[in-house]
Amino acid sequence: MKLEILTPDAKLFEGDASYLQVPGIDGQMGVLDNHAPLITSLGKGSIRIKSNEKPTELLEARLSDASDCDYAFNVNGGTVEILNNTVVILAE
Amino acid sequence: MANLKEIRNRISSVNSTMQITSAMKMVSAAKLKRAQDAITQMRPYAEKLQEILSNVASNVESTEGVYSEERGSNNMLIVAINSNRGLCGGFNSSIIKEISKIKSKYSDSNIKVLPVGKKAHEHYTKTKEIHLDGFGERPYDVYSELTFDNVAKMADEVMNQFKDGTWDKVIVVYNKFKNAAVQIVMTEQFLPVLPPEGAAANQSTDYIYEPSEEEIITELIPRSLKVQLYKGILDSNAGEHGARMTAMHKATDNAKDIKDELKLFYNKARQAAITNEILEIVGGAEALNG
Repeated sequence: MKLEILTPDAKLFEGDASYLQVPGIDGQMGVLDNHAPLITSLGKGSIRIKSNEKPTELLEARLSDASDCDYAFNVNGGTVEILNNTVVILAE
Repeated sequence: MANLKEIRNRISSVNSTMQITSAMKMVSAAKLKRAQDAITQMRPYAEKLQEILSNVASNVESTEGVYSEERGSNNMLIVAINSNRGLCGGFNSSIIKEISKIKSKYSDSNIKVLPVGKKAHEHYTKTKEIHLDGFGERPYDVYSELTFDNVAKMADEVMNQFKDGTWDKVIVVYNKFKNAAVQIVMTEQFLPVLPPEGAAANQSTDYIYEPSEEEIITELIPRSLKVQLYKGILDSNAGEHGARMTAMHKATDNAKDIKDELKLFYNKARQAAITNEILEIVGGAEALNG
């Protein structure tokens, strides 16, 4: 699936990802390929991504410990939209 | 006839003014580039947020909430966004002019101004219409580190004061950046929130909403307000550098004109002095021969 992570200051990530885990308001949520259309809010927590893409400099600066995935970084909240195998995360 | 030394001094002073204005123009051009980049970075986020918001709004019966309560306009807060520095043409004064227009339109209301920018700060301190409670002594410090988080804090405080009833209406006035030479003065209603545009947009996609549409929208609205304020400040920041660049370009051109004129004048004066000297010498020689 295609993944895009946007913040008001910059675009943090753009590219293909095989697995994504986001901190939903009611608990962790995993997203795999071909997920149904979904709009949800995020709580505080870490976004974990499995992907072969190289991280942008900005993302690199925010990365935290990633043990079981390729990238992980913390957010304070946000919104996720999933449509046509494309995931857009508006992070804060 | 003005003496030569005097003209020489003037030429050199015009010259150094020209150096300063052209250097300022260069600096503004570089800063403008960075400010424009910040806008471009923010745009995809703002567009997506707006898209999701109108998408969700089309599925929600009413978007009533604490931020959309209409209470008339008895107590109004105007957020005046201009710059910290001068020498940028009519950039700062156009904001102040626009606000006096709004004030005369709502002459019955109690209007206070939250200045974001030293120039507005100074002006409204003088007129005693300044409102700083909850925003610190110097809200214009936001320009020294222009990030979303800093602006979001300010937006949060505005929203809180609207919620607790301090203000019935909040308006933002700023210069929208069109291109380096043109800024448009914008007056936008910040609170109460206007219903999202295109609420009747395509409903073709059947989204799953989690938790519910209502909860998502109550979370999205404050976020979109923060983005709105951030956008205004970024626009104004880019506009400021654009305006300064144009003003300094004109100043450099004018200085060049004056310098050319003075040079011509100087050369004429110099020639006249030489002619005079020759005349004197010839006259003296004639007198000796005679």
